[in-house]
Amino acid sequence: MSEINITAKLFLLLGAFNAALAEMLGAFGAHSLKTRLNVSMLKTYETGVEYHLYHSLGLIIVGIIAMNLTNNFWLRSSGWYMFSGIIIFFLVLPVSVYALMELSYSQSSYNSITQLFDTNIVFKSFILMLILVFKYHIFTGVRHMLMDFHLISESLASSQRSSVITLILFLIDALLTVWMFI
Amino acid sequence: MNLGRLFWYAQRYSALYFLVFVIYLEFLYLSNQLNFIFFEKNILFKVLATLFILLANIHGFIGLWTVGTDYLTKRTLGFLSDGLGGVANTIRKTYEFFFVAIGFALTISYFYIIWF
Repeated sequence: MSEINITAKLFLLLGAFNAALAEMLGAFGAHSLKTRLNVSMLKTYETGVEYHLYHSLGLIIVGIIAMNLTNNFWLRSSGWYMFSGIIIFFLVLPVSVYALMELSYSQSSYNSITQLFDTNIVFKSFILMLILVFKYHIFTGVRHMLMDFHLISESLASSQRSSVITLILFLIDALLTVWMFI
Repeated sequence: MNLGRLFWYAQRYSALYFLVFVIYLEFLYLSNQLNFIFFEKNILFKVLATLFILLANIHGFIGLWTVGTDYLTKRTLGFLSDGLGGVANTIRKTYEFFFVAIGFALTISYFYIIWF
């Protein structure tokens, strides 16, 4: 890797800075606050530092992902954007009709589809995948709108940067979405 | 305002609505408000979902139509073979008919499910 792209650099710097900060705050807690705070307050403080460190590591991981994203397959985002739109119309919307029908037809149809969603891993993964396709279209769509209304530049360098950022934001949201349903 | 420009804006402003609608749905899910009674009785949801399917059809129609006129043409299909290039217009019209029919089916189903 001869040159690191600017997005990766930003995340790696933020991650490193925050990890260092978490380390210092942790040391401060262990050595200096220990004598001044009671056990429960100290424990709360330590939990804060712990999560701070986790999130710093998260930023570093995002940076490493961004570093390897240059010219990646998934960065042909205009193509994937149109493709996801086609999938939404021909698959996500028809499935949403089915889901809405089951959810609103009767109490027993509501129970059976929510139970299917909770117990059948294949059905759940399928629905989650459709939700992610929809979200992908929304994330890339916001990027295209910002370009359409000239809020971000359409130059090659700027487009590559915005597609890396869009993909990272989408991946973070995808993880949150999957986590929300598990 | 000419028709092309109207379509261009319609597709983008409808997209803003989808963003709001998705945030609304996530809020409903996360705040544990969803149950059968909600889907049966909540008027706000019914109105927003109806608006969603109408705008989704406009947005989807413009999008799919644009993809068709961009990629299913004599020139682009001609890259694959001369035969395909020759019937490009027929292929595109069939594709347009196909998604318009699906769009009608989706809208009617949504209306029926939500309001009857």
